[in-house]
Amino acid sequence: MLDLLLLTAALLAGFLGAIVGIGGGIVLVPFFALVLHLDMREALATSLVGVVASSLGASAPYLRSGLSNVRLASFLQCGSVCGALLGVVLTGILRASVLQVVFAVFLFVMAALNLWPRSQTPLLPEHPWSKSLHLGGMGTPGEPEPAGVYTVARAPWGLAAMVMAGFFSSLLGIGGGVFQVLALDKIMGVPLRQAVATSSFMMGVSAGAAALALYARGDVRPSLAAPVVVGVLVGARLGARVLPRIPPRGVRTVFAVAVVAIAVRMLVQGVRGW
Amino acid sequence: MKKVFGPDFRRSRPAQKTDDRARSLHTVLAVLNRAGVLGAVALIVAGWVLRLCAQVFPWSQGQAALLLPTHLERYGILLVLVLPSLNQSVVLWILARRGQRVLAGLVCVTLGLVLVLVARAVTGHGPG
Repeated sequence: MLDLLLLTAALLAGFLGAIVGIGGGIVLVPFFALVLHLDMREALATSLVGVVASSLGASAPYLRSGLSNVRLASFLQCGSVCGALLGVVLTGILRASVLQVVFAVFLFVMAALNLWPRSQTPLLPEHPWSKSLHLGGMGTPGEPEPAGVYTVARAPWGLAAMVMAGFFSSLLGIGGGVFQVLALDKIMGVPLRQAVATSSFMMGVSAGAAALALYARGDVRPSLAAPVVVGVLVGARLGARVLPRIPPRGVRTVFAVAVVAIAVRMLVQGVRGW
Repeated sequence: MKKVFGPDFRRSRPAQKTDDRARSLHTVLAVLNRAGVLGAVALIVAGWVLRLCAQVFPWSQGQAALLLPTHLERYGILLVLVLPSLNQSVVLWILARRGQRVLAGLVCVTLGLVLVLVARAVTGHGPG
């Protein structure tokens, strides 16, 4: 019965993740903490396993289509793994109620970001690091936009942003894709489609590192994580199929309202246990 | 050509070579990811099937039969968790073969950090 419940929640997380462009941790962590009443550390660790699975499932088609920029990912992953390391250290130190409050604040930010209108990033000058390491990439042939070659701007700032993304990924049990895509798009000037694809490739490494450490520490329960892995993968596949037929604005609004409701519930629970 | 890649796009022979190399790296990683994910799902589902069999057929309720599904689930999860680092190892190998030392060094640092993190957690010296 529990397996079925987990499978359904993970399916929903994977499905929503594919439609809204997130890792699925936003759905999984509150589900574990509020519905299954798991310890917050176990909830974060098990959710991270789902995030890694969703990242792997999403990155394969992106890699095949050539949208992921592996060189740029290799450069930035160093920062995100450093951040993940810091996050794992803090997860072991902070109290569960503090983690719940931090997660609730993050959910509010997520809901706001989700409803924020998206604007075109202006063209930025290429950073010398990008020139010497050939970090730029190419628009996919046959795609209407972006056309031609793109370069990478403000590389050191992007690297610093990845440290933050990795930190929040392991601290909150999420993929950190929201921060990564924002940093790639708005700070480094990478086109949005390539940013999403590169982020989904990178997410697995930082989340995987944190999840492996938490697994070794005994925070991951295999009996819970196994249905999550299968559910997230199947849900992400379903979501990718349904995506072209759903009006994106409506989905985003419903998602934001649900996230705010979860955030309020989590905040109340966190403050009570303070 | 201009229509597809944009007005500033100039495709020379070295660019074609770089493009082909990038595509081959992408293909290797995509195949690795897909195979790993399928393998992990297969292990987990096999564990579930075995557990179901143990409940349905009384003759398969031995100690080993009850432990095997748990092990299969564990290996499935571990495969998922190790796969991103395997990806990185492939990237490192390819970058090193192409002589791109700076990027290869950065990937080495990333893999080293992952190893340190896991090793400290395994030995109990980790955080928490």
